Amino acid sequence: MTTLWSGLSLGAVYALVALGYNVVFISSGIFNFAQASLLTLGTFFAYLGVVTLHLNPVLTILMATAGCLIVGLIEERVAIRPLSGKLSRAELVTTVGFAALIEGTIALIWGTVPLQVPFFGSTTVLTIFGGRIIPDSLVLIIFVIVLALALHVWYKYSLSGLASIAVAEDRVAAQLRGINVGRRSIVAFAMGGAIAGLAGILVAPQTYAISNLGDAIGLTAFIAFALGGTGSLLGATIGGLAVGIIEQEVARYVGSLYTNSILYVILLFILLVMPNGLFGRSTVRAI
Amino acid sequence: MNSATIKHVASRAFSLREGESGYGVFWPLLGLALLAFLPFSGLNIFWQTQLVLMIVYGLVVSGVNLTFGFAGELALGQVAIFAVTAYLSAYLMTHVVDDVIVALLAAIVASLIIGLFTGLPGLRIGGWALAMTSFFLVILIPDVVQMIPNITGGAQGFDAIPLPEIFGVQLSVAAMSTTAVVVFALWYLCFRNFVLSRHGRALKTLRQSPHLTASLGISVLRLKLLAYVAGAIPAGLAGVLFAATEGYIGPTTFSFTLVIGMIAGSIIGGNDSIYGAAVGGALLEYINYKSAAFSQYSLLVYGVILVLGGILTAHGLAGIARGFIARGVKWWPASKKSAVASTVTGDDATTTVTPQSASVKSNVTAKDIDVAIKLAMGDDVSNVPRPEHVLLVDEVVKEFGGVRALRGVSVAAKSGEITAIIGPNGSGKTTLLNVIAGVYKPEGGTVRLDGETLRLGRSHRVARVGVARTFQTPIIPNGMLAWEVVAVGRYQSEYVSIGQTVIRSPRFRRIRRDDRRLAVELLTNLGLGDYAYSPADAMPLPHRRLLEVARAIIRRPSVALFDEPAAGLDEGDLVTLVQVLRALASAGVAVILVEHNFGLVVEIADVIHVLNLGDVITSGPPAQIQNDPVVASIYLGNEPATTATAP
Amino acid sequence: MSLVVVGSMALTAVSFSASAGAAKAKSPFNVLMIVGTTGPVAPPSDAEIQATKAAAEVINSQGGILGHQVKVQVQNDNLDPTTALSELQSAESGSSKPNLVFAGTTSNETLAMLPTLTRDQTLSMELAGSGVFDDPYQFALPDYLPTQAQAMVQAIQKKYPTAKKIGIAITNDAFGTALLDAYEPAITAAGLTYSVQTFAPTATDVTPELQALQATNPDVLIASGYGAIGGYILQDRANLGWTVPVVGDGQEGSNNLPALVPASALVGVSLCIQNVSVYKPLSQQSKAFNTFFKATQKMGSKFTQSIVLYSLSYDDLMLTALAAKQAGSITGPAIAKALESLKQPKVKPYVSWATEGFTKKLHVEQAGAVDYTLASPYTKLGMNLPLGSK
Repeated sequence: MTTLWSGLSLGAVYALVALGYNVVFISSGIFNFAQASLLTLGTFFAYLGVVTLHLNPVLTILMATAGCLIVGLIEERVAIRPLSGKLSRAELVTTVGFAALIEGTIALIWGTVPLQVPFFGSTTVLTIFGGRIIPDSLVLIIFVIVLALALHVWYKYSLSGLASIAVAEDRVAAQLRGINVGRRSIVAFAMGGAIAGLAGILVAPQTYAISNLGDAIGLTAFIAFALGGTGSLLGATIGGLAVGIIEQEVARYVGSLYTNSILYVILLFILLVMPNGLFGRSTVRAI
Repeated sequence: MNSATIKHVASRAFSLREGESGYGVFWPLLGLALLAFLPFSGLNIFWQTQLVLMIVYGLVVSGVNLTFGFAGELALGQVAIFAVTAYLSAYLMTHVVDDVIVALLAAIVASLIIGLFTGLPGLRIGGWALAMTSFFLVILIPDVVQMIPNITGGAQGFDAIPLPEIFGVQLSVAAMSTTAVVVFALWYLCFRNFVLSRHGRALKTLRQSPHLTASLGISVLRLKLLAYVAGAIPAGLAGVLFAATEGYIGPTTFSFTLVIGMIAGSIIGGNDSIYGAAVGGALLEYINYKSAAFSQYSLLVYGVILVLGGILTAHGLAGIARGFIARGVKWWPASKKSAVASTVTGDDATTTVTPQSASVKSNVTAKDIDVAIKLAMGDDVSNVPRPEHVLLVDEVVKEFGGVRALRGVSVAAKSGEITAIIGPNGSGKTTLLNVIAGVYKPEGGTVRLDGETLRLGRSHRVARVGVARTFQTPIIPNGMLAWEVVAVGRYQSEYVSIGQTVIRSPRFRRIRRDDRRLAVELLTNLGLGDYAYSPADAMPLPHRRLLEVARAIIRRPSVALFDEPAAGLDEGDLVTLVQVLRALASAGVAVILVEHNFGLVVEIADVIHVLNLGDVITSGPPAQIQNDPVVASIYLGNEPATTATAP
Repeated sequence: MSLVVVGSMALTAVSFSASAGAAKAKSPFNVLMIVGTTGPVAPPSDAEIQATKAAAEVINSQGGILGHQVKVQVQNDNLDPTTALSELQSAESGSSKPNLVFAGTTSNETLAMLPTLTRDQTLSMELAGSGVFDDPYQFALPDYLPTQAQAMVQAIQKKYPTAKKIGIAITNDAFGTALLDAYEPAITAAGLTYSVQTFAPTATDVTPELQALQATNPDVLIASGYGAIGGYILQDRANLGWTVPVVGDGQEGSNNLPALVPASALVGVSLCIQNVSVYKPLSQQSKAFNTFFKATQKMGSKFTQSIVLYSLSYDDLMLTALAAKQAGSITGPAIAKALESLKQPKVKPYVSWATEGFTKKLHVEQAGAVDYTLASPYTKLGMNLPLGSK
């Protein structure tokens, strides 16, 4: 059971990044490699607030959310908008470049030694259903689920959210209906940043604030994203948590050398059977 | 081969102008020959190694270009293949036989197998999911390497890889560099000859639309596999050269940074360019190496270069270069092929094309068109009796989810007749067309052509049996000239093998000439002669419709399906369309027309079927349909009793 | 000839040429460090660089190596073996060939560079633990891993005499794998059994691996990982409520553990480290240590890393200078030969020297158990406090 909790804790981080991938993807069709780096930035903002400036948690969260949101906007302006209209899928390259920029800047400012960020709540280990988990991880898991539900509701029932989905389904048609497609993209990147910043104070106590956190997390979160189905928020959450659980259970009983391979085989198998992931929908393109 | 042919071939080879087959092959080969001698003429060991590393990058990037740039498949497993063949050849050269030819051959076989194997999922998965699964292979490499440490050297890596021999002669580092150049030159020739051919055009068509590709009778599955495998081979060659020259490979050698570097090389170099692969690869290799010099700023520098590189180069550096060359070529003495000097890419504003009028040239008479089409269909002008084709659609039922789009539709079409299918929006017209074309498999009913039941759901099979079609919105691939778009129609019927293509055999050359001649002739006779050598994707809608029609005609179909071809055409273009449709019918094709333009339909159709909500309401000759009150009420919404007839 | 005579002859040579005034300056003794100065291993690399430069300062103030001024040049290779090799090739092809190369932060880089170094007869020192000890011109300064492992096992047996089974939680990268290959036979030779769990250095949670170890009921746990992973091992152990005593090795000890985990996670944790790493006030340290310490401080170092990283790098250059003096030449082969049979001077310029030095067969320091000690994870000025203190 402890393994399960540890899998959920790890999976919550993957799910966070996968949610970020989805939020951006839904409204702009762009895959944002830099999402994991934004989460890393969030952990450093948390460090800045909690350890350096001794701010209370609420202020820290506000600062982190605002900070990462702004960086997300900068990314959209600098690395995405100049590409619009070109077919070359250059965002593969520019978002990775931006991720390197974030990581490089973090390393210059804070160095590359891992930095401890204490959790604002209790640090006594809890025992739930026979498994041990620290309060911070529990809060993180709950946060991710709540966030996913909130986003889901927003997309389905708010005009902004529906507008974003419209853009994803048919960009031209959305434009013809008066939806400001460019603004949807900006909103998407801002949201991606905000999600990363919001979660920073919860992730940092679990993982340390460390400049290369994004490298390992980002790629595994891919798998969660693809597994859950591109464009599906619930899918991203379930995918992320599932990947975390599988990873830790395999590490427990088989060996950590095999986690990536087993995850890969599972992903491949599921995609072959359901090419749009577990919850994704395919758009039937009229010809 | 007479002297004229030799002269022509030679002048093509030396040419610096981008002809239908790209730039001439002589100058690049000369450059490569010089490069091959360079290692022996004063290059120190650092530059000898850098040369090999740049070639390695260039090879892998060309593989990415093939699969991703030309075929549009987001299959990015080339670096994984590169890593596998690097380990394979390291093992071979250390423990089995230290010969570079053996290693290269083994690498080719391995990359064929792995390319096929890793490409198979791509047949089912597409888009970002495919990109991710192929990307992720690279992450598995350190793990797999450590699972079999005895073979691979495990976490410490495979060190002390000896420099190989060739035919028993030990290679020095300089000789190894020359070997790398030779390998690269051989691959470049194959790559170039493969891509600058009808195969390249087929790949570009696949990139644009798998539906279109299948409608031309081309097996999408087979073409995709070809793209994966072809893209795997250079990556495999690269692995051998890398292991042999570096002397060391380890799990940290094949990092995510390497993968991104290769992809960036493809995008920044120009991912649908042959030379862009080499330039992009070389550039990214050197950037990767030099960025380390910035020490703690190296990540920042690397990030800035990637972002800027991705932004500034829409078609990569190759696109920029093509622009310069095209401008430069304009000032050269004009030759009779001046029209050929226009660039192949459509997105750059560098073409020398005159602005196109919306209308097609209208000094082409109906007789001309009639003659042209008969010629295209392989007739001589005398009216020899043609085989009759009959298409029978029998009680076809098609459902989408809970919606019944077709509720048991039966229509017939015959050679020499124009059969029109009309009906209000949502009646199922296009669905019916798609069923006949084989795109959809119906829940019930059959379609038979000349007695044989069509394999519906497999549109390329249906296309091969003689069904041609156009699309509601013309699907015109990027990066091709107008005549090339038309010529793709002949890809399957006059198939040339890859081997013959690469060595430019006489059969290949003959068919290549025929492709161009027939396509240009057809376009000229349809009034588009001036635009035959223009980028097709920059053409206005009426021209693109006609292009699609030409593409259908050149296939010499038995049945031709037209999906709302009149939409967006003005009076003059409509006249041409009418002439074309009539000519086709009289040439023996069973023409099926889905149309909204009632006037047009009434003018040319022999039989009209009226569809409403998935059922055929009524069928008959135009006069009957015109006066049918039920039809009027469907269209106009009036009660049957109060309908007025059209004047 | 005694070292004093040699030394004074060298000094005489230097002063002679200095007083000659118009004599041409000798070519510099080029020290090239090809290491990874970016990413998580930047801090240890920086430590090595600072200490090496400090040693160069000290040597130069004493007249250089046989009159040649020592020049230290650093090139970053991003921990990539291919880049490392390219940089070495560039240096060897250039105008000022290196006299001494510090080859890589990880063994992957070292192994990539080794064939070129050997072919060019360039002297090289490595701190990466490549496992190659018979190359004619390469010398390794972290200890011979088998003796390091033996020291660890003996230290454990001394502190926990009733222990029968040792658990090992270790990274699966090159260095971790090499360490594990040394631990396993050492434990078996001592008549004990072991259980192992490995994980990637980039893992962010090792709870399952620790649980797997816990299920085998070890009496003592060896923890080995550099960077965040070193903290995760201890943190996750604490979260599991697992009270097994932990002995961290050199890799684990290179972390500033009190900065990574709260005090509750350091209960029952000790480190098996070299004697030089244990804290003694400067007044109780040797003269060489004081020289080293002050010189490295002058280079801007704040000793954020374990002191042994600094001292080993410092010693590398000191030993090279010593060997060059004894050989009377600065060529690679000459210094290499001298290193193999180094005569220990009365006044030692280096900070720590193992019981067994370089031999012809093994170009690596072979420390014995006597060179190691168990210390506290708490540090002062980069040195670990003796066990029991905070």
